[in-house]
Amino acid sequence: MPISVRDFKSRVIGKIKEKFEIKEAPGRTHDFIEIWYQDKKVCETHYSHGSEGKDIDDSILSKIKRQLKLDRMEQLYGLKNCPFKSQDYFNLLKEKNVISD
Amino acid sequence: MKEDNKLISKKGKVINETSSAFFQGISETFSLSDFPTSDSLFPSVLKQEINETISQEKSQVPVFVDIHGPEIAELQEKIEKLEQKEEQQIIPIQFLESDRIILKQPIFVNLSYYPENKLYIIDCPELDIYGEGRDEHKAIEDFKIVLEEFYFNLKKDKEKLGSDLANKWRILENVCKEK
Repeated sequence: MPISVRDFKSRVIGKIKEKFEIKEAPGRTHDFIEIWYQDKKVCETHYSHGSEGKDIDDSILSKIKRQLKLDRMEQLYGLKNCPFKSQDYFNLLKEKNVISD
Repeated sequence: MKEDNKLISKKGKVINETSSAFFQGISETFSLSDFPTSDSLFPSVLKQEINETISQEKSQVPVFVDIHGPEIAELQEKIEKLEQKEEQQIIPIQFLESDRIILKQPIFVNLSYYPENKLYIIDCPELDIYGEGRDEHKAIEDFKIVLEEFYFNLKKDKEKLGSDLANKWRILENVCKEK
């Protein structure tokens, strides 16, 4: 199930933004999105400029899912469509020791 | 072996004389018809109730609760990954097209083709980065640019990296060198 770049930025990253600080770093061919927590850069994901105005295909979404430390595509779609809350994502990163208090 | 109400083993030893005689006595006294059948055990009212319950259960439409949905989705993903692996090739990236960094050693990456999107993807799970393109060369070229930018993205914040990105920075320091 592809996700448009617009939805990815506004809904998926928008949801993560509720608990984390997001920094964008534009690159030559890809835009990088950095996820920060307590002044630590904890995750980084990127998507191609070629995807702008288009959909991000499942093949690419599966790489983004891994970069965001999600276990299943359902969780990525869940961030977009709401069942997977920002608190759930926070708990997941904590469980995986990607973040610590 | 049975002989004159005695149970005798093959070696000729008497095993159980008493019980042997007892069972023969029973079979002489009773016949099979003396034992109650299912009809006589269950009165007709009870039988009717049982039949009604069975027919009610048969007529009910079963409701399926999808309690294994997430597990099934996870298994489907694993199957898709395995199918993708069959089409994957492992290729070495020997050098970068960069004027800022060089590779100290080749990096081995996965090259996959996704026919449904007509897309080639170069993936490096160790560094969690990928490149994409309409053909193999464009995907490799894209990956090299992403690798270089990822290197400098991590370098600028190397004192502030979380544990996972710090590990990736260590890998990058081992394989890349600034010119």
